[in-house]
Amino acid sequence: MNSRTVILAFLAARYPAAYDENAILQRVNKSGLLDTPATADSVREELRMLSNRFKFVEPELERVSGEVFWTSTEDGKLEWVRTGQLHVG
Amino acid sequence: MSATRYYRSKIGRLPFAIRTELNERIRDGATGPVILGWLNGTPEMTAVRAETGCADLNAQNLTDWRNTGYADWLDEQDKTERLRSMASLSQSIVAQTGGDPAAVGARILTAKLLDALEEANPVTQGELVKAFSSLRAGENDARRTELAGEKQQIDKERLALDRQKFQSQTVTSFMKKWYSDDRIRAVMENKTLDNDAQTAALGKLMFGELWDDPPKKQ
Repeated sequence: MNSRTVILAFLAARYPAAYDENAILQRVNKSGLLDTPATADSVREELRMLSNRFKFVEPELERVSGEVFWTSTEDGKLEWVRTGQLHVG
Repeated sequence: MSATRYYRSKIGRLPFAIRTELNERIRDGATGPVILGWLNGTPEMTAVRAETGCADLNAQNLTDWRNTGYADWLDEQDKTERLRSMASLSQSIVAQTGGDPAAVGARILTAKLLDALEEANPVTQGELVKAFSSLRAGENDARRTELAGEKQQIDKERLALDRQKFQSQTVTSFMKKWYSDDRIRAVMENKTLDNDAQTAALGKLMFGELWDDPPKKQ
């Protein structure tokens, strides 16, 4: 399964919880759903694609730490439901 | 139906989206013949037939799928349902601690709480969810009682205001209108009428058809 689908499923099922890129990377790799393990760069790239092109996720800046956290959008949640609610444990 | 588990059956070779639709149709109670009619007619099944040289799906294939892929799918649906419920619970706990629930800080906190719930073993998880839910129910009950008390107080104050307004209007009305009315004076000065009769006569003059005689005292 491709990492874009798994990343969206991970965030959408946990909406509105927000995770940083490292947490997302660890959780999607731990899920055992990926055809090949994701890397920090590939996760970042997919998050940008999901955000800029599809509006399924969005970044939020946490001002105290300066870190970026990602959450699913309502549209992302709907897309996850529409495509069968993949479970990412 | 695990997304990664490999199913060797004909149905297992179908794409994830078709297997998901199949599972949803089974869950929604579609009959075997209807499902087979639809599934055997899909382009995806045609592709599997072309690839493997197998025959159309039959009732036994569907029964086998119900016991494997469909059972796994139900299990995953259950896990997803639990996860959504824990996410919603985490969100509401964070919301009750104050602050803007839409702010990133609240969303990060929701994630941390959800992580803790997910990492707990199923028994602890169940107990935690139950404890949080019961805490929320208790808080909601307390809030409801508080609101009922506030409403009662408001009703009392409104009643007192209404009474005060009625008294004030009655006195004003008596001074401006009724005091100079000869018919009223005649009733007031009529010594042949007892108190009840006077009240009734005045009531009829002042309120017309709207006046109701008070019940006779026993």
